[in-house]
Amino acid sequence: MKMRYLVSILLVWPLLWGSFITDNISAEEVLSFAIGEWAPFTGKELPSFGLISSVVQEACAKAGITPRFDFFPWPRAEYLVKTGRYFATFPYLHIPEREQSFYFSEPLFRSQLIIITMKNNKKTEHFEYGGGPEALKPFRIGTTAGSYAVIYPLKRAGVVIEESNTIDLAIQKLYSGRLDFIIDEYRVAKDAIQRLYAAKEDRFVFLNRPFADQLEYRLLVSKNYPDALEILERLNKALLELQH
Amino acid sequence: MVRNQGTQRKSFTHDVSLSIASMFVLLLVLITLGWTVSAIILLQNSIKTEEKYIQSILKSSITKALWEMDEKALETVAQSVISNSALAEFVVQNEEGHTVFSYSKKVPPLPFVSSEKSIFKHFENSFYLGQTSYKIDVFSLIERTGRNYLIYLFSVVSIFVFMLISTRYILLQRLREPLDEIVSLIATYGTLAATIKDDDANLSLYSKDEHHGYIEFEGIKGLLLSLRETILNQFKELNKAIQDRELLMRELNHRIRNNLQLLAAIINQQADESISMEPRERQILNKLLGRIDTISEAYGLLLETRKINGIEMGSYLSAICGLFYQTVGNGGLEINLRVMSVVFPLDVAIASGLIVYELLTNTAMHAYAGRSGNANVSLQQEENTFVLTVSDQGPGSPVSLLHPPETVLGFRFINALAAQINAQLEEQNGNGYSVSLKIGVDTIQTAMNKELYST
Repeated sequence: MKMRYLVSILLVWPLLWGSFITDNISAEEVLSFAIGEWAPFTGKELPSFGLISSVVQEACAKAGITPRFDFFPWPRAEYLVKTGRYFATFPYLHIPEREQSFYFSEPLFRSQLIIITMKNNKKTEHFEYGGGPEALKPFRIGTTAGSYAVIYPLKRAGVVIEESNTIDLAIQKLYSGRLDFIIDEYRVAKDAIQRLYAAKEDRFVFLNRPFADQLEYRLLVSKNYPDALEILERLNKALLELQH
Repeated sequence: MVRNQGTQRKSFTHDVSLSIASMFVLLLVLITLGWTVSAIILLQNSIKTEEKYIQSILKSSITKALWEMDEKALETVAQSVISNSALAEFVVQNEEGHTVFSYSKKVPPLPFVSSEKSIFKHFENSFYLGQTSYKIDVFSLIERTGRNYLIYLFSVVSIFVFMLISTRYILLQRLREPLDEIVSLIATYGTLAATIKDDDANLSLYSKDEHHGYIEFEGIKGLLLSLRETILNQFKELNKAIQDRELLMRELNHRIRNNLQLLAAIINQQADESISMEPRERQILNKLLGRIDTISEAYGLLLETRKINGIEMGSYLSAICGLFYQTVGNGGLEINLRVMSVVFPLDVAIASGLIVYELLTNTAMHAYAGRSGNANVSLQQEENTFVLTVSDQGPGSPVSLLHPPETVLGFRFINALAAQINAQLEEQNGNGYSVSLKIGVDTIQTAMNKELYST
């Protein structure tokens, strides 16, 4: 009797163990990302939620993770990640001040911040940007709120800068003559000009020398999210694979 | 040429202005009372409106700013709330409990007004974003309501003042119309003329004859007062004339009575002196004396009554019965008198009295012929007729009262008297004898209202 009982356990046990392992492998690991609107990189209405969202989706797929994107105002998205309610937000520049609360992933993409003006602006038509924020001091400069890669160096150089809540608003201010220059991410600014002033695109002048080049945008990962580092490692691995 | 009578002018315009001012003060008191109540209601509504406004801002803008973590926007909206509403305290805290905006000011405590804070919790997409605590500054609301109240009050009072001034102007303009008519009327008099001053509703009346100087009357009120005085004086004079006339009437009645009594005394004395007078002659003389006394008694009663031309018939017929006993003697005849109290005019009363006396004399002479018996005298009203009846239980009359022979002077005398006062005679002969004199009530009333001794 005891022998039969032991045999049956030995037969059933591997089956039970095997089914458990199978379930663990096939279970979907959903990872939540809090992001905002920053066309064409991220956007609720954009295909695949934007260019960078699709990169993140691919990386997640490689890491065996199902991503979920929830859209918030940018400060709220950052706050939710900081408190650990969301795993990460993107795309963010690597700034030392942020290292206290966040991890940074491998770069998602590289970009440049360019300086844009209007053709008919008498004040800027002979201006040649030779580098260095101090050169912009005599002008009215605008950018998008939260663009710290623009704001911090300009403020340090004593340049007065007008922050707009959206890139669209900043472009409109430039077009109307309220600003002499705006400084923003190249593709974002280009996308906004095409959307707002499609027929008058030639009136906008992009200065040859960028304000900043080879800026790396990354995932901003919560330090308070469970197993954040382990997941980040998997995602970094996937991102490096994608780069190659 | 026009002399200024400032006092009269002032009093007239003063009266108009005073009436309007009284109306104004009354209206003002009513408005003030009504608006005090409305101010309290307005304050209650203001608190509710303030609460609604703050709640709506908290629900929309503040919640949005907290959701977007836009501190600048939060500051702007909060400052806007503070400047646009009456707040004693306004504190916004984020989800971590940190104060992101704070405002408070000291307000004096108010009795009966709750000073509790209100707390609004902000949520967005099931995320708790923080809370705002605020306290409404009721003191400022009262101040604001009071300011609005005063502005409204001032506006309405201004409108009322304008209306009252307009009313005064229209009133004075309308007074011009009758004054113009008076001026036209005055112009028809030879030496008189009148003008109306443009700036007032006063009438100036003066003489056109410069040699006699001028007479000026100002103010239609003065003119009317003068007229009133004249009418009152005339009325007093008239009243005195009536009193004098009544006195004269009484005196006249008194003298008539005295003269009648004197006449009766003279006849009586003459009869007493005539030794050879036959009994028949004596009887005729007594009858004549009775008739004179009957008339004299009427005037005697007239002096006692309040009305100078009316005689109370109960007293008069009773007096006639007394006279009958005095003149004719009892002779076994007993008179039963049943008379209502009614006042007849003098001529009707005298005629009725003479008829009664005549009939009683006939009863005494012919109905019982020395035997004892009863005679009934009654006066009563039957619908619209007064009926005066003299009756007995004698054998009746051999001749008809209504168609008497020429030799029966007594009956002819009765018919003549009845015709004189428009009365009807009715006779019942057989199984006693009865004569009724019927006088219409309207005849009596017409005679009573007729002017006595009219010229």
